[in-house]
Amino acid sequence: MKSHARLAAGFLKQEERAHWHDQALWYVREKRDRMAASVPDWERLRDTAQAIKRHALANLPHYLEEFEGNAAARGAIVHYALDAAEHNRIVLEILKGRNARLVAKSKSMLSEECGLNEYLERNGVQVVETDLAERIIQLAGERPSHIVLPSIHIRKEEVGDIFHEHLGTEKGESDPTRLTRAARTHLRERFLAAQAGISGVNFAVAETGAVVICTNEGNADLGNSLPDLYIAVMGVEKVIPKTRDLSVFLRLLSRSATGQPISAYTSHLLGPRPGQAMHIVIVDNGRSEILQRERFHRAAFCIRCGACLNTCPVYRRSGGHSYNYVIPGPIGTILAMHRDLKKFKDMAYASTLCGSCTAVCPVKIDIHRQIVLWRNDVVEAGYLGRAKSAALKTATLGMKSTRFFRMGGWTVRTILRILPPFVFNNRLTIWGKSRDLPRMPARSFRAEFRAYSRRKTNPPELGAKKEGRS
Amino acid sequence: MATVRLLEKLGVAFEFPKDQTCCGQPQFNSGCFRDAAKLAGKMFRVFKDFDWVVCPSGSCTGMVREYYELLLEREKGGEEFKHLVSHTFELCEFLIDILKVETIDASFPHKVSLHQSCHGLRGLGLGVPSEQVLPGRTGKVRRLLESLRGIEIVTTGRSDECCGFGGTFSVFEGAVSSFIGRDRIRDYEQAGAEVIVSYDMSCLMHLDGLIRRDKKLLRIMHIAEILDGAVA
Amino acid sequence: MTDSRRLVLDRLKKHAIAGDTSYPAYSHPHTGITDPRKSFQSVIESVGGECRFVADLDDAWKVVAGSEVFLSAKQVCSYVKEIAEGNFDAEAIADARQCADVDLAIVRGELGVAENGAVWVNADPLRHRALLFLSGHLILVIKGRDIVPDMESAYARNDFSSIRSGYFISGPSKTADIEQCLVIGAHGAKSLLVLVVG
Repeated sequence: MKSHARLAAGFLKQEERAHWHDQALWYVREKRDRMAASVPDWERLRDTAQAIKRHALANLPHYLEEFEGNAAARGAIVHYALDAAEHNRIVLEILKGRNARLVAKSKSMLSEECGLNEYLERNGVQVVETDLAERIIQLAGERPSHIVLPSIHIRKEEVGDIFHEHLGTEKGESDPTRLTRAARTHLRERFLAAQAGISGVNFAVAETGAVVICTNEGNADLGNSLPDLYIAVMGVEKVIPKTRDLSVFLRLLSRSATGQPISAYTSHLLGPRPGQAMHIVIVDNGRSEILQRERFHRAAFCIRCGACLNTCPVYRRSGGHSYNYVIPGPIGTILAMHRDLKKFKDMAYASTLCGSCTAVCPVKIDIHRQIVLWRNDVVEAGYLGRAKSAALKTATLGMKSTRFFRMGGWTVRTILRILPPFVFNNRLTIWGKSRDLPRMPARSFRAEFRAYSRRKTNPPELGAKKEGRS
Repeated sequence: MATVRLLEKLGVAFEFPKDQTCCGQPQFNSGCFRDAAKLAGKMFRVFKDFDWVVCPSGSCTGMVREYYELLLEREKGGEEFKHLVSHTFELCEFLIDILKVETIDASFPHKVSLHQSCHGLRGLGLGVPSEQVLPGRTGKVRRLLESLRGIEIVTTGRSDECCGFGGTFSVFEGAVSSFIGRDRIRDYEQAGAEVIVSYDMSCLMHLDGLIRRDKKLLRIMHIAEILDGAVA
Repeated sequence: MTDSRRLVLDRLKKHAIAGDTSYPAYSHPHTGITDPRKSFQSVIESVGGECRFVADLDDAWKVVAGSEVFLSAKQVCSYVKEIAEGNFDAEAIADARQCADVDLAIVRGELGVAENGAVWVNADPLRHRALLFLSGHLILVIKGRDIVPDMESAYARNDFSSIRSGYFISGPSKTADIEQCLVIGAHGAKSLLVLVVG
């Protein structure tokens, strides 16, 4: 498994493509900014959203039971799954029980997390992703590179090639409208033929037992309305107390995710339609553990908007496939660390800690702060890596003692001034690979300051202080 | 040294405690909290007796104000600690918030790009982050710069994107770090900037390394240098 | 299965959320909307839909009768008989799949939300809610007095608990999944006209 650093370096080799990817996502961030600016109460909405999440997650058993009771009263059958494996088994059992062989599936990051599609395919069920981007990557045999825009890394000519191969569109066709129309026809057939629909859930309302789903394409609704069997899968953290709370989250979600005031369709389903069996699978899969982490529990507030991915300068320039976890980017990092600290530790270092993610998060998760706290866990567990640890320990030693600090400074300054630039500004040194080393001043700050003070007739006195450069 | 001269010109009585070393940020950012805590402890001991601590670095100041509580578990409840944390200021915010110096009566007739370094911007509130909806607010650093006669602050499409330095990130994810930095430089160049100014030397050094490697004509200056040079 | 239920619920009893976790009191009316009707219309247009204000049902019929979509439609299913009869009776059909070729559906909405151009459609009167998404084009009809400024007032106004299904519909279906190029008409309706009567 390659580290983020290596995968990102590979991604950046195609410079033009990397710039295109960066621009495409920055554009979404800009749309988000404009939308946010149009809502005068934006920052207070974020505070309320976080407060609702804090309350809901602090009382999860209560609200889950309330949700379950109301949903069941409407005719939905509710299941609980401890982990991914159980989630997959339950879904398969439901499908087999109705002899469903073809599933029209609508986007669900939870199902990606659980590896549902692969599991179902292995067990004789054909799964057709109906979200256009998900269908594109499904046909391409790839995994999503973004939680809201799964195929953001794929260019239209490439979509054309994929559709030419699988949908029979004309070779070389790359017009997005024509390609979308082709997908509409192709997927319409699947919707009509499917025996079951599966979708994720954006919000589950405890007060009424309603399942709320947001889409732009209308695919989730065809999937949950046409077949006689519908399965909604959700993480435990999706439940919110009241219908009214939707007003807060829905106002934040689409604006944050894609810069739209609301998605084209916001579906409220309270039980199955007549003649349909509706199942809801509620999944833990590690979420209860996240909630028990004092420093890290806020990661569970996430409403999967993807704004943090769009705003991350590193994500934009490395792409979702440079991250080894199913969810990439900032939120992916703090979720991955719960999943497996050792396996995903490189993700924690794939950040400049700029804090933009925290600033855009609609539920005010302190993402960049959690990233640096996770780094501490990596170090304490001994996973940092010998080279990095040695370098930093040496630096600490040098800095703990003022004498060593000054000696170190003198050494670096002197060496870098004496040796010719090409010794360091070359491809072999990590720093010098792509940039020149900093110019070194002749004297340390201390020396300068001493000389300066001596020159003046009234040297500066005690009082206010200054921490200088050395 | 620019900070020294500037503070003097503004009539501030100050001292440079010679025992100081580093705030511990490199260690902290790498996750070596125990090492960072040792340096934080040293810094605390060196600086705790002063009325104010002024620092010409947004990131170092941010380290003290945002994370020292985490590192100095034992000290964090004490009066001296609370005083240190609440009285450690970055240079520009010290000028504006404490010295009440909002304008600098001087000229700097150049085209300048303000690079809003991340820690100072989002952590300390030195500017208005583009992510947030804060109507009516203007940035502190921007205000100081705008008061200089003749200055033209050129704007770019991305008013506060990171420079890509990120401390050890620049070494361990060098490719991404440089790519981000080059994007920043290109934006400033295309906006017509002669000078890139910031309140954080680390960002400026990172950008300068790329500028010189690519032989660009931009100049980097720390805000203290501009303010000091401008004030007679 | 019930074991898992008990286990999951028990696990979730423990949490590390410190500080005030009480349910927040809140109120966030959208103060940026001075002219709800105008905002409503402009947002619908910005998301690729059309919004027309008509004085009464007669005027509404004139708009529908003159529209390209209506004129070219072979199958029209109308739930707003006062405006148009339609020629396709979805209520008489047992299998929703047979609605797949409906060109135009005309449906009543209960609310319009100015801040996002959304129309709240209670789908319970429809035998097949899938019709809303199968139909090639959609016309939604609301009363002028049912336009509210924001989502908070929408949720305060209506009863969202006594329905079986309902949808906020804002604009036609769409996607930007191919290189962020906006394409109107993904799987659902390829166009949306909102008629505001009165």
